[in-house]
Amino acid sequence: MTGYMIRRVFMGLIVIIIVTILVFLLIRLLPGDPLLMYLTQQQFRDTLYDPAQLAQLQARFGLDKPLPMQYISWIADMFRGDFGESISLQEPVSKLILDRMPVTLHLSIIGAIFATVFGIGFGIICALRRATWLDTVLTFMANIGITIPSFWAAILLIYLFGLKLGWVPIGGYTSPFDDLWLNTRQIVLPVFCLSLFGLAANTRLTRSCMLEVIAQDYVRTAWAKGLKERVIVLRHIIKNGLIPIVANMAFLVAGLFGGSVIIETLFNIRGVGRLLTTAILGQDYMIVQTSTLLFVVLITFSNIAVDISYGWLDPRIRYD
Amino acid sequence: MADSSKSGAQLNDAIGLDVPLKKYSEFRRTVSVFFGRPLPVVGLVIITIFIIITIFGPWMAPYDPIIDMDVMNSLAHPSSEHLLGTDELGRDTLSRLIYGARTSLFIGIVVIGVSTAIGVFLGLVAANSTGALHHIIMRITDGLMAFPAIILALLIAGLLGGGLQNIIIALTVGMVAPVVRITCGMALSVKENEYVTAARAMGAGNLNIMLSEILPNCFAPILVMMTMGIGSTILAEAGLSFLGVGITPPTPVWGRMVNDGYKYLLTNPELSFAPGLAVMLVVFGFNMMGDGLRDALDPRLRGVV
Repeated sequence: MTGYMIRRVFMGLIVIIIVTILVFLLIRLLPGDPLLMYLTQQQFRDTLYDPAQLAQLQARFGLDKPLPMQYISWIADMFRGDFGESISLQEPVSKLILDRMPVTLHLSIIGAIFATVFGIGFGIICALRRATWLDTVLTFMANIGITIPSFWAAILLIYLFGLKLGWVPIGGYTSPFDDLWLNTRQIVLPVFCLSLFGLAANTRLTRSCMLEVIAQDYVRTAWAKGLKERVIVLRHIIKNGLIPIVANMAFLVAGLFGGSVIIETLFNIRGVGRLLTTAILGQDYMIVQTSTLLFVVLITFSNIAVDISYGWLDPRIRYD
Repeated sequence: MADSSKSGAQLNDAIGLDVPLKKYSEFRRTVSVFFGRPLPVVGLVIITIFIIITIFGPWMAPYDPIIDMDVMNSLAHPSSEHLLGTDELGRDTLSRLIYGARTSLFIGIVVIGVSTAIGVFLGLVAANSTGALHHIIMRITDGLMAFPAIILALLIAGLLGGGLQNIIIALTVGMVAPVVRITCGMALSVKENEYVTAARAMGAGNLNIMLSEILPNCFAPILVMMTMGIGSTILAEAGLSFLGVGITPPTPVWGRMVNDGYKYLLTNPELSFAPGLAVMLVVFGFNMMGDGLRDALDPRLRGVV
């Protein structure tokens, strides 16, 4: 087990290194010069930019050095806690992200809990009540859930609960420490929309895994031994049927961070997702590279955690 | 058997079997499983209608989606003149929806075609090479898989700028990695089969084995992945154009239509509702068809469904 854990962590670190290279190259090699954009925004569009000023800016952001040197100094700076400065907002990127990260994490964690608890719950109900109307309805809803565009679900819910019924505000985010009730009402819709896909995917996955386990010989043996239904379901079916769901957790995390880009923009929430969207549209690449990297590194860590717990749950995996 | 001169018919009589032995067709079985359940058929019907709309759209649309601006009638509610109403420039929503279908399907097919070709090639190469090449391909795949698809596409599209070609590139990059991983995994497990050893014993080379033994046996999961992939590409493209990265206006695209209509949610909700519903129906169609294909093609489920 220790060897397996060390291998997984090592692989994860390699993935993180590759990811830093990918992010770095994507931003440097694709067209679109952020400094030029910055200069033309600063001065008016009809005046030509000053080449000397451009060179000065390039030196300030370290863009005049060759690519490998830029990469190394970028990594070295990050280890010192220096993530660069936003070109358009003129603020340190670390401050911008630190301000917004708690918001994104708050939404994502509640979304993850919601998607896991209800997704697994619905999946178990479907599998145990297979081919009843309850199964049909829940499975159909799950099929809709993996299909519906999150932004459209958000707009439908805003229209119904925000505009028509007026039960919840249609956007914004207040810290739960300032006003817990307002915060709860503000995050109900965003969290639901964020977790909708994961919830539906979990329901479908749990249902099919449980159905597979229910057909196993040891489950029949458990029935034949005369065990109570509750014991069979909890000890024999759920415990074994949930292993693939754990493996799916990393996708859930990736989906939540990916969704935050759209949902935070739509609900006007000051989180990292919206910061990233505005930065990409405004080509503020210091923000783009740091927040993308942050998301991807968090996803990789959750991948490692999932792999390790997976190996612990199912010993066969360790010897792959 | 004592009398070896007995014909097949006599043998049938002897064992009491009067049903003529039918030739077993795998294709026929797959088709009957696929059509045996309602949801895959619903999916197929939706996709067929969608394809008909994309082909015959210009003859079906009542107005031109871009130049027919009925300014006097802007933000009109649904009426017999404009079945789904008009947007803020007086353009007919139904016509824009019909033309938007073309963009969606075109992007979906091109992105999935290109990414499957690249992904299958790289996956087969990775499965058949040992050492450095295998690790380089698979580790870069791992790296790409760690990005949420929408963020990777947004990043590339944002840096390349809008336009059809750039959106296709951005979405393709994100779609390649899962194809590589699944093809490589499939190919590695297919390689363990006896018929591959047999082919090798008969003197078949690496390339020959890859193309005529391994690739055909990876076909089913790749087909399922392509079907579902078109759906998720259409969904991702809608997300990108919703955020304002994507096909440049005035070309009608569903995601942007949802966003444009969002401003008028209180007065004209149909402007946002209609294109979003279109995205959902089409993606639902591809997902259900993919589900049906997977169940029909999976040999482990033979006889179960």
